[in-house]
Amino acid sequence: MTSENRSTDSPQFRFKNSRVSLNELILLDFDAERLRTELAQHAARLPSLFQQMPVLLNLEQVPADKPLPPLHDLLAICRDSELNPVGLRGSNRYDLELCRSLGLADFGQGGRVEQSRASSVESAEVAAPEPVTAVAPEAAPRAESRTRILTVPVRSGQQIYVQGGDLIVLSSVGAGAEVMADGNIHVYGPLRGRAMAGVNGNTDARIFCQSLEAELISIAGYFKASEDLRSDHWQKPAQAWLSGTRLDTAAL
Amino acid sequence: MAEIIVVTSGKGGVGKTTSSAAIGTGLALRGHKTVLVDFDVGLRNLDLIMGCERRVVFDLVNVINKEATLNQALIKDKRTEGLFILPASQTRDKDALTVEGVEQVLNELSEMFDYIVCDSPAGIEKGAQLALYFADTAIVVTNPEVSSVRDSDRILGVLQSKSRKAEQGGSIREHLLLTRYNPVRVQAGEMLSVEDVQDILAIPLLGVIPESEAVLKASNQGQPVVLDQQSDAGQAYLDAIARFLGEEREHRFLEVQRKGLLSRVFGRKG
Repeated sequence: MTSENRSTDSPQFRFKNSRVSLNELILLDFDAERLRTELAQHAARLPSLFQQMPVLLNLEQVPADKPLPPLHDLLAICRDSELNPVGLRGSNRYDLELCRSLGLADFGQGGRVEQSRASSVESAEVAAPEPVTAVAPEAAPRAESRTRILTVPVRSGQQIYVQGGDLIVLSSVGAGAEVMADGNIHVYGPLRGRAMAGVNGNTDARIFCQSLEAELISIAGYFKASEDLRSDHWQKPAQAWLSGTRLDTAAL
Repeated sequence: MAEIIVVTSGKGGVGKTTSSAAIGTGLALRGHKTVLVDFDVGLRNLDLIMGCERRVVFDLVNVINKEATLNQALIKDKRTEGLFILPASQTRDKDALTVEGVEQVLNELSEMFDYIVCDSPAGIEKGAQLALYFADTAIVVTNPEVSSVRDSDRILGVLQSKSRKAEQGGSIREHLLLTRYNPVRVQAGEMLSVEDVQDILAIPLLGVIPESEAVLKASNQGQPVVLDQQSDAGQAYLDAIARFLGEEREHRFLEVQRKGLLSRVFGRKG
């Protein structure tokens, strides 16, 4: 009886907010043949990564004076390399209808905020007078701190993400927990789970913890797993930062 | 208004039902009117541990579906004054439980009892979430073993985010109950120590229950282990209940027991 009721009354779907981490393929230039070879080399080194991995095509860094690559060619190259492009970022130079017809989602202009922030920092360093011009609307939300402070332990299975700020955990981050921030991550207890700083691509972000026991740490997408972290700083106060493309750790 | 206690763990087989039965019985022995509610719909066990399986007529799902009244479904414990059991249904599954239904049953029980002890199913899905949703206090049962500790950490996260208290901006009182503790194996490095577990979970320790033959014996006899007051496990549970009620009790059974001369000479069983 109940099962009949269920089949007629219960809805067919529900929406659930979920946050997945997606890799971006940031195109720096476009030459079809070179891209194809470089992707193939990359795939040879990391075959496990390329098995139909969904990627976001980021076209923001293609020099503005250069023509954008033909979308059909770009997709073909990606798919030949076992990548599965699911959307575009910085695609305003493409025809939206075309993107739609190819089944690509528009992820807008993700990096813009980052860029203008970086430029505001630069201009502040160069010129003493405050740059009031274009930075003003950006400065307003930054005045209120986006830093988040957690006083309770982050438990296994919990995911914390701080957008546009730092995360400070006064307690521990348990194994199986995940903490993420666009800025730095400070953990004033043992860090046993995963910590990802600079998730929006900020390579200056750092991770600090009282006891480094992490499953994985990552800065701006460059990561080290537990196995590679078991060095002299293991279970000791440590920090991690990015030197170029290498993730370094040091005792605090 | 009754205090709602959920006995939960995430992982299965760590001793939730045994602990629920012991704690419920212990609270009743201390003169508090207590009801044990089995939330493990589909895998009903609490009635077996309490030795009342032959008296189950109606169950929690019947009450939620208004097929029986609460008084019809409640089973009065024959050994302990002021103790009642509300069994789970064995023929249904967790989908038979609804938030509204559970709330109504708990509200009604709340008028009649001092303590409502909810025996949670394993897992972190609907059944476990419903068991803990209305709780004021959680007793997290953990074995001194990494997978159990991690699952307990997970369930503590669920308690912090998916309970009504959390949704209202408050928090559930959390207690750690470490079961199946074997000091000999801890000393040999085969088992996590109390300190290890507390370091990871960082919640107050309510009690440590030693691994004991008395527990299995009690389960099979359908008699909560606290009634066996000679046993180490029974005494450890009684200590934990005393602490729960605000008394200071020193933790026992944490050290390796030195064997007496006679037992060394005559028997291997300490």
